[in-house]
Amino acid sequence: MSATAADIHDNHDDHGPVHTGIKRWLFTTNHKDIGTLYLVFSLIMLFVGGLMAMIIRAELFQPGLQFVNPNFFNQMVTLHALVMVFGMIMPAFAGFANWMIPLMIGAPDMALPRLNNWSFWLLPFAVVLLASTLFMPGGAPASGWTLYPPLVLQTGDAFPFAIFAVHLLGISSIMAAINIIVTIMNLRTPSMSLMQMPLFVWGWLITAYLLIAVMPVLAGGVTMLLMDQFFATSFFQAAGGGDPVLFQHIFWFFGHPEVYIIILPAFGIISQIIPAFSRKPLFGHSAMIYAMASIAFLSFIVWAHHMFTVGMPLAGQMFFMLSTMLIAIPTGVKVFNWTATMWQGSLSFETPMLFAIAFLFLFTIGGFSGLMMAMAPPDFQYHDTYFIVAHFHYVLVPGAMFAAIAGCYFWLPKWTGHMYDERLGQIHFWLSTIFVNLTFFPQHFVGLAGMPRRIPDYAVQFTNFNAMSSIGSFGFGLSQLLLVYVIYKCVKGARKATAEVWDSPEGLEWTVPSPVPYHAFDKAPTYTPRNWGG
Amino acid sequence: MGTQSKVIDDNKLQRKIRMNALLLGFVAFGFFIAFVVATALKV
Repeated sequence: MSATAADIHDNHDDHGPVHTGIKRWLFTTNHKDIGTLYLVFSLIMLFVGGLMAMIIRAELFQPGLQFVNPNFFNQMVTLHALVMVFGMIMPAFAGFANWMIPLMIGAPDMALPRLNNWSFWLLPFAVVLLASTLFMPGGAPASGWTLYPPLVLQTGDAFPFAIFAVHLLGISSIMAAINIIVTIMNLRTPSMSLMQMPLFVWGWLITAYLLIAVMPVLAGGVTMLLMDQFFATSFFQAAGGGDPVLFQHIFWFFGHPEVYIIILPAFGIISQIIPAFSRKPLFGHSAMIYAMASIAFLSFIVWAHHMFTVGMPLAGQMFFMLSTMLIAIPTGVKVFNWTATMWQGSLSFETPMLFAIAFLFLFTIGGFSGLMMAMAPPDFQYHDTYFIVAHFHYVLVPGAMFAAIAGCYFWLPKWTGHMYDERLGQIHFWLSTIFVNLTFFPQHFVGLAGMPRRIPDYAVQFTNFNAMSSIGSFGFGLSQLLLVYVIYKCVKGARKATAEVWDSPEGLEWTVPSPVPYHAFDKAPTYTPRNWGG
Repeated sequence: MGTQSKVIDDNKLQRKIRMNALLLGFVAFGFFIAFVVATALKV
C-alpha cells in the first residue's frame, strides 16, 4: 500500500493547487477542496431552505391566509424539504466525508478524484434547476417531498424539470457513495483493519452501501411517474389500471433508508466527538459498528410504517410495527454507549461537545416519538398531523443538523489552522438549542390535538402554539447567521491551532499539521491503536 | 499537466479501484432496472 501514493515531486503538484481563482474550484480533484465546496454549498442551501421555512412559519404565525396562497404554500413545503434533504444535510455529510475519510484512514486522496469533482458539480445545477421550477407556469411541485401521484402529476410545466433535478441529485449521491466505498476498501493504510476504523468512517461506509441500494429505487419511481405523465403508461394511474399506493411503497422503500443515510454519518461524528471531550475511548467500539449495521439492515424492512393508514392486512401492520420497534434496540445500544463513554470521563464542554450532548438528548426525543408512531393503532391519530412534523424535525434538526454543526466546530481548527471563537460558539449553541425546542416542541401538542400538516390555515385553538413555533423558527434561523460569522472569523485568522487541536484526541487526522497540508499523506502512515491503560 | 489530487501510480491498484467502482455502478443500475421491471410486472 505504501506504493499507492506516488512520489510526485517531479510534477510539483504536491505543494498546492494547480489552478488559482475560480478555476481551482471548478477543476479541483483534491479531496479537501471538494470537501470545502460541499460544506460551503450546504451552508448556502441551509439559508435557501431556511428562507422557505420562514415563509411557511410566517404564514402559520396566525390562522387565516396572510402572505401566500395555499398552492404556493405547498410548493414551499415541497421545496423546503427537497432542498434541506438533498441540498443541505446530505452534501454537508458528503463534505465531512471528503475532508475527513482520507485523513482518518491515511489515504492520499479519494480513490476516484475526477468522479468526486463531478459528484459535487452536479449538485448546484440540480438545485438551481429545482428552484427554477418556482418560476415555471403552474409553479413548482406542490405534492410534498414524497411526490405522491396523482397529486404530483397535476404539476404544471415544471414536472419533468423537477424529476430531472431529482435524478441529478441521485446520480451525484450514487457517485459519491461509490467513491467512498472504493476509497475505504482500497486506500486504507494497511496497518488499520476494518474494525479499527473510526466510527465516522464506518458510519459513512454503511451509508454509502445504503445509498447504492436505495437511490436507484427513487430514480426508478420518479422515472415511472415521468412515463405515466408523458408516455401514457399506467404504473400509478388508477384510471389505466395502475396503483397509486404502489408508488408509496416504492418511495418509502427509498425513503426510510434515506433517514438512516442522513443519520448514520451524524452518529459517526458524535462518536468521534464524545470520546475526545470525555478523554476516554468510545465505549463498545465494535458494538457501535454492529449497531449501525443492524440499523441499516432493519431500515429495509420497515418502510410501510409510513403508510399504515392506506389500508393493509393486519399481518402487514403487525410486521411493520414490530420490525420498526426493533430499531430501538441498536439505537438504544448507541445512546447508552455514548452515555457510558462520558461516564467517569474527564469531561469538558467546548462547543462541539455541547452540540453533541444536545444531539444525544434531543435526537432521543425524536426517537421516542418515532416509537410512538411505530405502533399502528395510535398512528392512525398521528398520521399526517403536526406530531409527525415535530418528530422528524427533532430527528433532523437537533439530530442530524446539530451533529453537522458539532462536526464543523470540532474539525474547523484542523481545516483552517485557527481556533474558532469559543465564546461565540457557546452563544450560538445556547441560542440554537433554545430556539430549536421553541420551534418544534409545541408542534407535538398541536399535532396530538389534531392539526394537520401541509396546510396554510388552521383552527383558532392552535394559534398560541403556532405563534411560539414561528417565533422559535425565526430565532433559530437568525442564530445560524452567528455560525456563518464564527466560520468567517475563524477562516480569516485567529489563535493558531496545534496539530492535535484538542486534548490528545485519537486518530490519524490529528497527526498531520493544522491546517492540513494540501497533500497530507505521501506514504501510508502507520496506525497504532492507543493504549488507554486501565 | 499535474493534478490536484495524489496520483496513484500502482497500475494493479488503479485497475482494482476502477473494477470496484464499475461493479458498484452496475449494482446501482441493476437496482434501478429491477425496480422498474418489477413494478411493470406488478411482482
